[in-house]
Amino acid sequence: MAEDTINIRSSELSDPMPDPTGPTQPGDLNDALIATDVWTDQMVADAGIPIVDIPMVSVGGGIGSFELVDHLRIAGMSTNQLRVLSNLDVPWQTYEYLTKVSQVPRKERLRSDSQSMPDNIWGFPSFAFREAWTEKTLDPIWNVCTEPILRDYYTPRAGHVFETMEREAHRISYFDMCVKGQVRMVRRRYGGGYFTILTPPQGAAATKRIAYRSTYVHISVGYPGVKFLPDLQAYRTAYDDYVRVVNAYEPHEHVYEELKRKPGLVMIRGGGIVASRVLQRLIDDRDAFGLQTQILHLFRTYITGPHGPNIFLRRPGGDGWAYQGFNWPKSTWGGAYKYRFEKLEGDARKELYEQLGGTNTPIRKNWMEQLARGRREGWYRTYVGTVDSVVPGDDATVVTRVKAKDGSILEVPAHFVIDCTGLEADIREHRLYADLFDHSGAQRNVLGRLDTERTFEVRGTQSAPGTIYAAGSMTLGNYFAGIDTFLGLQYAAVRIMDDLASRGFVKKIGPLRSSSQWWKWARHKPLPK
Amino acid sequence: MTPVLLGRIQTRLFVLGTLGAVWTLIITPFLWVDPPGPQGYTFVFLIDDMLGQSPVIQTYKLTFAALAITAVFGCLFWDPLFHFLMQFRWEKDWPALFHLLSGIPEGISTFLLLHVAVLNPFGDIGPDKEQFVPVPAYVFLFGTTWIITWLFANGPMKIFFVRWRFFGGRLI
Repeated sequence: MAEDTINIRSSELSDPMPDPTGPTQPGDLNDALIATDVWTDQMVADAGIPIVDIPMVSVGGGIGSFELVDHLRIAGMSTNQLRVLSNLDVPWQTYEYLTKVSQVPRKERLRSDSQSMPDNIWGFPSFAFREAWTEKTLDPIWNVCTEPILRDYYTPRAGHVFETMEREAHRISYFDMCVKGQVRMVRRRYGGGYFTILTPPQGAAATKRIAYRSTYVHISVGYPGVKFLPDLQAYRTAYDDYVRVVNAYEPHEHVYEELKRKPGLVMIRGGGIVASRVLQRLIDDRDAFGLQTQILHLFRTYITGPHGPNIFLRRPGGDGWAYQGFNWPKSTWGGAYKYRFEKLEGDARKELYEQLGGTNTPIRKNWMEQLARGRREGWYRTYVGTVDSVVPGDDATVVTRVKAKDGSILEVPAHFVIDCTGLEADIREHRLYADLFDHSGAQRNVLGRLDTERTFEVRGTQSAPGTIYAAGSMTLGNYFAGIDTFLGLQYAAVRIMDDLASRGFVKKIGPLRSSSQWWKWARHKPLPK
Repeated sequence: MTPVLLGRIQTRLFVLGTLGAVWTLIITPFLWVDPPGPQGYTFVFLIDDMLGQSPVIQTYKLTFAALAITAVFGCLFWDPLFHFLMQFRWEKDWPALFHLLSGIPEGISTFLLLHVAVLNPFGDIGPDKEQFVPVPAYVFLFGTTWIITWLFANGPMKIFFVRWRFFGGRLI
């Protein structure tokens, strides 16, 4: 992992496994296996690696794996047809870790549509209705009926999402299908299908590795890590200061605690949802504890109002921010833009990604109110420019040297700098993806990530009759932009399920099966194993 | 569901053809109308005679004409118009509220079109024909049908069609 990558330490196993017994432990990879792209059964047997036969494996074990398994189970797959290989205890572990450190604990609301429900493949009844039902209030229903015109978008509480997912996981016997460990690589098998090499936790197996021999492989391992802004990384490395310069995606509770002890200046970098959430936390604390926190917000691009090349492509904005309900325009998940992305190839697709992308945050009335108050009272100030360098200053501060458009330099001191830009690390940072590129024929797409077909098959990795599917953030840049979202993972699961149905792996879900299965879901009836 | 044009059309035809038709079938005999003659306001099924024919059947002709006009004129005029207006929205979406409120112009257009002789099942009955589109009954029928189909398309429809929401409202 590169030095500037922040590991998402949501699991104790997320680092490469330590080698407990050295090279003498039986059943390890040997040079021949590592160097060979396509393996024979004999090669794996010669290395002493035990082989487990299973029709399909899903690598990752996060929400992407959970979605696929949920769809396949509802399509009639029994639990002995698939294994989820994962270092996570529960599918929402990494997600919950990231949302929690970036200031969305269970009681706070996510940035997700009411009908994007990881525990329900149909999208009905939506989170708003379920919340209305359990809390005996009509407000969420009124909200979804009038959003986003009269009200801000309804979004579910993080805790509600995790609890319902847990319930569904038990209903479909998800945990019966999970195998703990770190996946090292997926290689094509001579004669068709794949070997997926799992490193089980220390002491859990007699051999160092276990090979899963399967026709189908699904890869949904999420982010390799979060990347720091280069100037902040340079500062951290040069001055060994990991206290005053932090990333919003790493634990940084000490910043808020320190601000409670004595008044301070905080610099926020970035103009997205995480910046909004961190600002809310700072201002909530300010209000709740009567703090004197001064907030300095640095925008690289300051948006003054609606912006875009023409009247058909104009995104709302103001006060520095670009406003958008969700992380892509809504029709990206199933309307005009979804079809547009699906049709475009190469540079044309890349161009659309650029047109619709860019950092943005949702409009929320309480955020607008807080920031307006901050501007009025002078404790929230914005700066525009690029960063020339970050250096230590007087009085335990960090000085950001901001370069304005005219080239002038402004020195802005702060006690803390919180990087909310959420840059993602390169896909090769993950050993599994690097191995797919180097040995299994996978290619990069127009955004440099894993290239897939419209069916989410990974291009170039076919091993007939088998195939590899991939979904999640590392497949951004393909024919479906909203892939790194609950609904996007559900869409990917539908497409993969349909592709598997056309190969005879599961039944195709038509209206009858769909409605009878929904009825089972509604009554929380466990699926047969 | 964020519709595409074909999705709007298919969803319209589907919900009006199923739920809309069933609701119209159920509710028509219970419409509150003032038929020609001295009787005054009453339920359709209580009217003895309407121009020598069964009043229930005569009213069915009118209510199903309204349903058919809403379906066809919507596909030909309203859906392309809404689709065009949607292009001005950054998100290229169509909020549920817009969908609900579009019932007002559509209700008016269907009402007016029912007064075009060739579209009205009673087109040949002469100068009194306007009383055969009784306004309160029409508002009740159109309003309830619109709300029921709107509710269905915003919720339970997905129980039957798991892919529908990803395909801009297209069923095929």
